[in-house]
Amino acid sequence: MRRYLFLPILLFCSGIFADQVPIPKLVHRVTDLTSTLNEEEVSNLEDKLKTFEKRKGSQVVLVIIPTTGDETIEQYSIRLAEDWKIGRKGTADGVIFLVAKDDRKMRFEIGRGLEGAIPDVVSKRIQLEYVRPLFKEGKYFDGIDQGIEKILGLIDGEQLPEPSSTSYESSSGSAEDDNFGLYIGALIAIGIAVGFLFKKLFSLLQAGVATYAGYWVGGLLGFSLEVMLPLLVIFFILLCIIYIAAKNPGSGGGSGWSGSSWSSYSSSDSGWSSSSSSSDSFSGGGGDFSGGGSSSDW
Amino acid sequence: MSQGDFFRIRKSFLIGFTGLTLFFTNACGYNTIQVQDEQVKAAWSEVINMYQRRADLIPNLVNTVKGYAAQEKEVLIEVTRARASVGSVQATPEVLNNPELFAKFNQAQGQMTSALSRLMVVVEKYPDLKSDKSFIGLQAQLEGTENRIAVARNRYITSVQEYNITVRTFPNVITAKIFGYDIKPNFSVENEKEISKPPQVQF
Repeated sequence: MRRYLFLPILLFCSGIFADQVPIPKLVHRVTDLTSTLNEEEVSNLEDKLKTFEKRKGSQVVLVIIPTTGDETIEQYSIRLAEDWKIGRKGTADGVIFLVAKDDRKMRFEIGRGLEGAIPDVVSKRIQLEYVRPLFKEGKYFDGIDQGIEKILGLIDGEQLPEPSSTSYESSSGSAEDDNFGLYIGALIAIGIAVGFLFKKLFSLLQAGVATYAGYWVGGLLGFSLEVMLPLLVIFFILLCIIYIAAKNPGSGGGSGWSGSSWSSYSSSDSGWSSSSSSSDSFSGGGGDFSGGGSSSDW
Repeated sequence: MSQGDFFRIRKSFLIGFTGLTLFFTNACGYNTIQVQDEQVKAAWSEVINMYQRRADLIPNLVNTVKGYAAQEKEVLIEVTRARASVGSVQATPEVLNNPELFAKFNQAQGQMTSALSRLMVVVEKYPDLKSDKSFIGLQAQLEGTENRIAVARNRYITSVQEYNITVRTFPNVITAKIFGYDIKPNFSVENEKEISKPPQVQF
């Protein structure tokens, strides 16, 4: 409900800021819209950032754009950060190195979790002492490489959680898929719980209650109605069928399903959806930013 | 069958119960208001934190500038005074439910911002100061803090917008009235343009 109300506001806002430079789509760790770097340099940096993420878990990305338009580089950078959500959820250990080439401005946007490891003063110093002199000479790759090296070195010195085996790199697709699995699992678990609770009740009502409980918990977990509605409908029908089958042994084959088969079903279900496809796409892990970092020109 | 009756009664009971729950958890928006109220408070705390951070930087900054530009008394005094007046306005969450206090708080912070920008303009005249290591460090911290303030304020604005829409739309408005949730004040836009610009410093 709230979401629907918020939509017009969003549209309204986007109407106001129609002249904003759009945020590029996040596909790789290195996004160069100005063709400043050649292919070899891009893949070199890409590999460096990739291996670092595998080893340490922190996501660092590089973005080179021509200009940030009417906005300051800080404003553009925080929009990009909020959109991409670089870094791990909770740890918030993402760094965005943004270069607005025609504006001759650069910025490190530091994730909330790394503000201790890379204070503003330090990121400023990296820019002034290492990156800027090289940029002035037009050695963009060298400057960027230096800057990234220093940043990675600083992150390395920080105690961070181990990178998980199911990092966004190796596992399936996006975070959304994972959520889906979790979500269906949660729905089913709730359904079972409610089913046991109202064992003696009328089946349709049971399914309804279970579905509603699922919806309610989903709301608590922050899923939007749009995402949940189709799932809920499917879930409802599924529950109805299962309850009816369980009520009339014979027609559904296998009389009275035990709790264990239930749970194995649910776990296999959630397993199926979270390990869906395996593609090598890169996406942010849900890190958050609060405007830490520094900007310089050259 | 008495048992059938029993089940039927229980069934209608349950339908009624579900209906009521449905109505109350989704329709009246009480929970939504609670959640968003908390979000507003959290966003506000973040704003306060960042302002505090800025206030903590000021004494060091003033001292460093003094070392090079003691003759710029006016600007230095202005900054110090602005900081004192910022400290005098209590920035508790109660401020949020009191538009007057809120306006006062913002005015004080706005003065702080403009005093700082003036200080930064003065600095331009002193090359020695500009190249001083500790000053460069302070400047980077100040820039970072100003940016964080801008971000925190924007997030506060968004959360207040969301909350205000919730408490003003039907049927939540009824719930909000019953439980005494008013709309919360927001930063005014004219002010916003001026404040959210971090002091421009060219090296």
